[in-house]
Amino acid sequence: MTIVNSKFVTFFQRIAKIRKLLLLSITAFSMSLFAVSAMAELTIEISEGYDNAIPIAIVPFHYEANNSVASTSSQTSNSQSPENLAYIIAADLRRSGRFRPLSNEELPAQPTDIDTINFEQWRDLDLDNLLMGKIIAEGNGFYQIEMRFIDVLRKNQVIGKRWNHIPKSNLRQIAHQMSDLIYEELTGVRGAFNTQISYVTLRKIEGKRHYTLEVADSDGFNPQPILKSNQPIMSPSWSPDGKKLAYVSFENGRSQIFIQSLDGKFRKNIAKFKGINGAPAWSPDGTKLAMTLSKGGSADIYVMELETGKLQQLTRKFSIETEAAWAANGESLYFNSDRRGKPQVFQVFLDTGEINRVTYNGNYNANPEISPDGRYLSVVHGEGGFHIGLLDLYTNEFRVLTDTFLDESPTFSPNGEMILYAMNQDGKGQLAVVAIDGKTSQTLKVKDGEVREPAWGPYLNP
Amino acid sequence: MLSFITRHPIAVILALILHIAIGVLITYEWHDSTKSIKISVQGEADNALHQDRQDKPFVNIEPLKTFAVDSALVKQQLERIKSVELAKKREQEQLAAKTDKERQHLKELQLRQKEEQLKAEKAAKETADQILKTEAERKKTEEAKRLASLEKKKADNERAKAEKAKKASLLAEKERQLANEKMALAQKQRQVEEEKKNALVLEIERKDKENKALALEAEKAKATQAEAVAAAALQRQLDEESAAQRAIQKRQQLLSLRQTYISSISAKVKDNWRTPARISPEAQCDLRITQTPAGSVTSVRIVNCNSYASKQFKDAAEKAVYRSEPLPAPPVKELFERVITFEFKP
Repeated sequence: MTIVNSKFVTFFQRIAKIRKLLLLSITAFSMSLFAVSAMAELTIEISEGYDNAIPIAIVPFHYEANNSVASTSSQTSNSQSPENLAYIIAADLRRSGRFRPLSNEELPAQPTDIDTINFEQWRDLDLDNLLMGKIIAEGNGFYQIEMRFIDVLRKNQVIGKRWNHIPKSNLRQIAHQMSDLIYEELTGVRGAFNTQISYVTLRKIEGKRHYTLEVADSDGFNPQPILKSNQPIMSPSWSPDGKKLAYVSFENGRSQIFIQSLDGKFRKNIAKFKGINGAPAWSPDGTKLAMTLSKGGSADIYVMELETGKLQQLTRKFSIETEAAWAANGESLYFNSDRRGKPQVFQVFLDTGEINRVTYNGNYNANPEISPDGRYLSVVHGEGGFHIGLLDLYTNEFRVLTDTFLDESPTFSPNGEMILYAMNQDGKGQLAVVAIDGKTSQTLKVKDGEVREPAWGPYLNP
Repeated sequence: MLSFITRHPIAVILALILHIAIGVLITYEWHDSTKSIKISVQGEADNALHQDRQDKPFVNIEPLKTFAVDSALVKQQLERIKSVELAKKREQEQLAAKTDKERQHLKELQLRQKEEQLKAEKAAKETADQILKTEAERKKTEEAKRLASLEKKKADNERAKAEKAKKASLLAEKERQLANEKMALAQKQRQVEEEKKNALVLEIERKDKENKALALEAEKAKATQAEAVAAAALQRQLDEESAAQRAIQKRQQLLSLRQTYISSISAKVKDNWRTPARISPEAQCDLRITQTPAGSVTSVRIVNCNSYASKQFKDAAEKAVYRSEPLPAPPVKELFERVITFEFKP
């Protein structure tokens, strides 16, 4: 066991050299999956936003309690409403950097119906749009939600929608859906608020390390632990349907690739080859998984057919080839290789095996990720530190997006507007979000630990 | 002799050459002067000679035989040859000198002959001139004589004429005096008549003047009247023209004001332009705004958009118009337009 382990350390260190990842300790061998206890809630800080963010009014939703359920639903902090939907939506829109929601104190009125709106009153606030709505308790913990998105200037309703029979636990999700609708109406781009992110937290309790693979809403709320271990967990990758995660776990003393459903009902160890089993990446059609294996001696890119477990080796170099990312059309893979001495991104075509170099900016470009539309390639760019770089594959224009410290693991939001990545702040691993135009950024922190290895999930209802 | 030579120079020269040739034949000594005594000297053998010796077969040279030479005889022989050559040379020189001399002489003869010919021609010319001269002088004297007789005749005639004229002038003087007296009388009569006539003429002229002055005055009055009419017409025309010009100016002013008015609306809409969407910088549409006189927007139509104008661009443009309410008022009331269309590119 020790021999195997020392071999593994050598390989792992080689990868770590390229990616500048935190060297994770692999000295302990015991592993345990344990029950959900303390949840690590992410708090988000918006560090920068657009200077010309547009003011918008999100009026608190009017709560209509059914007499029979009114008393039971009063457990929420926000008067009688079970969830402060307006607050969730306002936070979503503010986080996008493009909107400036008015505070409750700034609102001149709290209309519930279009007929009761004094348009002049709202126009004087230099507003274009107003959101109002209702939460109606249906009883038995179910609610009816209604939204009206008003154009104050044209004095008409732009969006009107109603959701029936929504359990309390899904109210946040409905709020995110409303944010998505508003965002798409005003920007022409589908919103990605109603999506999930996964990440790994690390806490030290009584000298022991506790790793947790978690899934949370895109705003960091509602975190759900998927896997807990006192051995490192790395590289989560979402299945295209958003129902499963592939990840690397060291629970068996060395790196192995697992696939697990979010509901925890399904879990399978799919790669436990000799040496490294790392960097899983789900193909866009969900039938294959690209991965890094060193069973042939050096780390190379393989593609596994999930149905059959059949492996296809795509690279055969003594150099390190790792961190595969699928092209949007699923016909090629981008990966990181130090075959030219320094890590750069290459592209390999599945049908011909042809390999092309993709990045030329600077000496260090690793950890490639492709935007959902296939246009942008994000990398960890090493030049005077490690920052997130963005290469426009259409124009070959390259930009450095971040100025944070030791950035790694970039991942695109499903609408391609934002990049979630890991960075270091105050000596601790944190997550951050940056818009692809670099104009807005925010930080996601956990109170009592570190957070790393982010992966932004797909649209929940594609 | 000389004339003979000048007449036959070729014959003489040929004769001369023949003589010289005979002389040479007589004086030439017919012995072989090219024969000389062969002297071989056997000195130290150098390489070349040695080579020669090797190349050529050896020839036995007979040893030199010494014999007594009579030096006096040799000397004498040499001197004789010398003297003969000297005499030959001297003879040739003499012959050449002689030929030169003769040639010189011939030349001189030719020159002298030419001079004499020239002299004879000159003398003949001079005698002819002399004859002509004497002939002319003779004719001159004859002419003078003829002229003198003519002069005399003329003088006689003039004298007779003068006497006649004198008589005639006396007669004429008398007649002149008579005529003068007559003339003085007539003049006096004419003067009186003239004075009478003048007085009459003056009277007529005065009357004429008076009439003319009256007519002039009438004309002047008429002209003044016409001028006044013309001036009035001109004034009217000027007034009309300036009014037209003022109208044009005003129209131009209004046009420019209208442009400013529309620009002010367009600028306000641009000021109010904002969107959260990513808009292509190429996006462009025409905005057709219907407004009330108070500047309230009653409708906005987004037309003639290019391919870059997305739904979000059109929406944002429409909102920018509403946000610009009330639209800027026109600088003058008459410029207000209910429907205004302008190109919009944020």
